[in-house]
Amino acid sequence: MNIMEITDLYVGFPTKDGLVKAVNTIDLIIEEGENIGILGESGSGKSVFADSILRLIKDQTVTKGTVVYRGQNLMEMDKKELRGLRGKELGMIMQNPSSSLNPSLTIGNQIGEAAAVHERINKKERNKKTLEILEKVRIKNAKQRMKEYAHQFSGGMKERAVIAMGIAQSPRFLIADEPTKGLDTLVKYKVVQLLKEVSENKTMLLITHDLDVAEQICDRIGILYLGEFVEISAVDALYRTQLHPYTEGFFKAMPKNGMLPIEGLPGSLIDLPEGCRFHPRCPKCMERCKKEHPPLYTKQDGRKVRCFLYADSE
Amino acid sequence: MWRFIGRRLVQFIGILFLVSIVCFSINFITPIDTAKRALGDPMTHSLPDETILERFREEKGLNRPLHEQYLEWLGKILHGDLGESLITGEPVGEDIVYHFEKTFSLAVFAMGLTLVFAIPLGILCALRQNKFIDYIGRLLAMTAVSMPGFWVSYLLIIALALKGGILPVAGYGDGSLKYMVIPGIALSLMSFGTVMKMMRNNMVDVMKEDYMITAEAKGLHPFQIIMKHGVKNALISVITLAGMTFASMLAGSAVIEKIFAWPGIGHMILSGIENKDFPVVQACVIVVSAIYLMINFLVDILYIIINPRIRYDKEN
Repeated sequence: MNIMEITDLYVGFPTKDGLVKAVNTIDLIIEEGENIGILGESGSGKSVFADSILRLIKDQTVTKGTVVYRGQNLMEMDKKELRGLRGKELGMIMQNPSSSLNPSLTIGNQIGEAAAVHERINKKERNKKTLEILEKVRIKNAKQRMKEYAHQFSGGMKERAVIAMGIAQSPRFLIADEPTKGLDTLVKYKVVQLLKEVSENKTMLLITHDLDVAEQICDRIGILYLGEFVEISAVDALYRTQLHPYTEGFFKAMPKNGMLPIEGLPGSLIDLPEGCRFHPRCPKCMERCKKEHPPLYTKQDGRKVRCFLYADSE
Repeated sequence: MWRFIGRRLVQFIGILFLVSIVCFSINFITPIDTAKRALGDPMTHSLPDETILERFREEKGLNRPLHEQYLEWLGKILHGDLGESLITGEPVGEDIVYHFEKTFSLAVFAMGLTLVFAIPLGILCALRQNKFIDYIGRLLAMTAVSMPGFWVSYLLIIALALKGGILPVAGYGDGSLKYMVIPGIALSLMSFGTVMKMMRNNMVDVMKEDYMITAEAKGLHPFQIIMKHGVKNALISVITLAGMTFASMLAGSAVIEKIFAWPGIGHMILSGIENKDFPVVQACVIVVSAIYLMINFLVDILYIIINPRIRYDKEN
């Protein structure tokens, strides 16, 4: 069963230098229970995509398209109704724990608030619930820790606290935005374990640039480049062979695969390259790629790729 | 935190000590002879006999070395004896208490006005950043900052007392609220602009913080997000500003108190200076400095309480 259907999603920010087309455009169907990873470089539009699902983007932004969650279009829903879904149905694990936690409120207060936002419960019950959540994310000494502030927490602990806020109401759908960013390998491994645990029986959309993390957590992966998917594929197939030249480059850039960086820099989200957005950097660029924008081809095995090399394989 | 408080206490005492030296030196820096001032007739400028003057100096210890005089004076102050007025011969301490009460009530009223209007307006402007309300609010703040207090006072007197006729022009009257309104507004306007602008700018910055989006993602109501996550963080530095402003209000605004014939401590200092009544001036300055330092000290502690980052950094 499909839990979310995203169609023609477009997000643009007006800036002094022009319109930044951060998401342009995304189509994605997410099945209930799957863990889907969104991979991409910095500036590929990953986080904006995550935020736009919950409409956490400021007013001046231009958003088009539909995000249908269990039959309801989130983009056109009234604000009150949407608030009712935030946290309860759609939980968000924010990126950058250091700045996503409020510096002047205790951790317990912030988690308790997330746990109690849609219900009226007294302080005692709220504290009890907060403790349970803290224990669920493996924060030791929770009773003491909940009275502390973010700056007293280590990086890994802050990440756990942010995860705790996201899962506080056990939402059906979890969006995790770069949950392992900036963590050292050991802590990262533990956070990955935790994410696997908390996403059990849930649907999770994981935003990351870390191929290892994605491989361990996700069932399916979408590779994002300059605001659109260039490839969507099941994890095992993708890690065996990469179809799109960008995906190939992305994998080759990994230390264990030779650490060969992709030539050039990602283009600007303001003036998108004509034709295929990857063509200025593509080693397999053809004449056609410079003029025409390739559609997302679906191969017979179900993998999707936005590249003219696969134009005949449909 | 206790170490911090201890350190501030030592500073507090040190500054008061320096203030006391400066205060005491009025006695010999000014060319006025205390004995002549005390015993002479200000109308006729006639002076009593030199023997009488000499006896007065002997009695008051004015002939003794300066450091002895200073220590005796300081000792008295530490025992709560602030000396007697040269004019009336009355103890200065009681007079200070009387005048300070008046300054205190005016300061509380004015500070209350500032906080009640400047903070919500600052928040509102931040929420409507670069919209019509924001421009009006900033214009008001700029106007309040740029207008000199004495001029505002006269405008208010003209508008509310002379033309409006609802409120008294000046004076303390029976101490009821209506006497306090115009001087209170005038005094409040002097700090209104800075407090409002600071609150607005802090709030604008806070609204961009990631934790505000986190709060939104939790499904909180915008009002809760602004009040709980926004205002508290935006208030941190406003509290320091408001505290310092309140401290200077308690030191007595000489200009406002003079214009409105408000019998506060600022007024008392001015009269002391006009009458060359040194003990009054000295005692007022010492008391006002002590109060000013004390409020600052309290503000620092309050700042630590609401800003957990400072609280623990100091401890560790």
